Amino acid sequence: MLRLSHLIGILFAIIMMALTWASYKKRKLSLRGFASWSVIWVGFIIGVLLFDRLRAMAAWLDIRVFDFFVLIAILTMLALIFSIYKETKVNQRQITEIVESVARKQGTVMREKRQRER
Amino acid sequence: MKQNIIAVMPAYNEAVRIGPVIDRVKRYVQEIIVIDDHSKDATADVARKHGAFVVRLITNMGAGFATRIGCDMAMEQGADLIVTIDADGQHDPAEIHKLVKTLQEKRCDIVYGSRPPRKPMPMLKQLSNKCGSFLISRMFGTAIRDTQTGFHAFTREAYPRLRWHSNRYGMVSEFVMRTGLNKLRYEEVEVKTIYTDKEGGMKFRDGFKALTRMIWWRMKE
Repeated sequence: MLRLSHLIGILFAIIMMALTWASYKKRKLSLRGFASWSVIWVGFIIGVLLFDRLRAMAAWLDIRVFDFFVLIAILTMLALIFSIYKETKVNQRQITEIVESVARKQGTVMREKRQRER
Repeated sequence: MKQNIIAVMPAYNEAVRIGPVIDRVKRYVQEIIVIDDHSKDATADVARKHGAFVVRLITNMGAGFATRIGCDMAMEQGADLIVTIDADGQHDPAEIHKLVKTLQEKRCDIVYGSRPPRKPMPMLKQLSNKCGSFLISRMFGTAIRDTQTGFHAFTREAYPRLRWHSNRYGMVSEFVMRTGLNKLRYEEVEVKTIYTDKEGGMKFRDGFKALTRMIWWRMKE
C-alpha cells in the first residue's frame, strides 16, 4: 500500500523528471544528459516503491531500511559531486586556454598594427 | 646600453583612475601593457587613449591571469626588465625608478616594492598578513616582509622561473614561493602606498587556496 512518504518521494521524482525534460527541450541538456538523469529519477521511483523489499538488503547490512536508503542517496550524491567537480575543472582549463589564445591573438594584431603605424 | 623596460598593469573597472597612472608610468618605462580583465566600464578605451598597449580579455579571469598574460607579451616584445604595477594608483609610479635602480645596482633577479603597514589596519587583516608572511618565509626560506605587494620589478632571465599558475590573487604568494624555491636573488624596497576608497585585495577563499597550494609545493619539493 502506498504511504504518504511514498507519494512525496514519487511526486519529487516526477517534478524532477519534468524539469529534466524542460531542460532538454531548451537544449540545456544533451540527449545523453537527459537519458542519464531520467534513469536516476526512474531509479528513485523504483527505490521508493520497493522500499519495503529493501528490508532484506538492509538486514544483511545490519542497518534500518531508511538508513540504507539514505546511504545509497549519499553515495550517489558523492559520485555526482565528484563528476561535477571533474567537469568544472576541465571547463575551467578549457576557458583559460581559450581566453589566453584570444588575448595572444589580440596582442599580435595590436603589435602588427602599431608596427605598421610606425 | 639602455634597457627595454616594460610595465605590466592588470586592470579591472579602473576607468576613473587608470589614465593619470598611465601618464605617470610612461615617464619611467618604454612601453605599458594594460590587460583589461573584462571591465564593465571604459577601462580599455581610457588606457588606449593614454597610449598604452591594451589587450581586453573576453571574460574576467583574475589579476594573476591578467598579469601573466601581460608579462608573456612583454617578453615577446623584448623586455629586458618587467615592472608590475597596480592600475588603481595605489603605487607611486615615481618609485619605478627606485625598483629598477636596485635591480640594476644590486644585480638581483627581482625587487619587491614593500608597502609600510597600514595604520590603522583591521586586526584580522593584520594577523592574517603576518601569519601569511611567516608561513611563506618558513616554508620557502625567504624573508620578504610584504608578500602581498603587486609592485615588482624583475629581469627577463628571472621570469621563466617566476611564471605563476594562479589566476587570481594567489599569484602574489606563488611569486614569493617561486622566488624561494628557485633561489632567486631578491631585494625589498620600501615604497609609498596611496590608499584609495576602493575595497579590494585578497579574499579569504584566495588566501585559503594559496595556503593549500603552498603546502602542496613544499611537499613536492
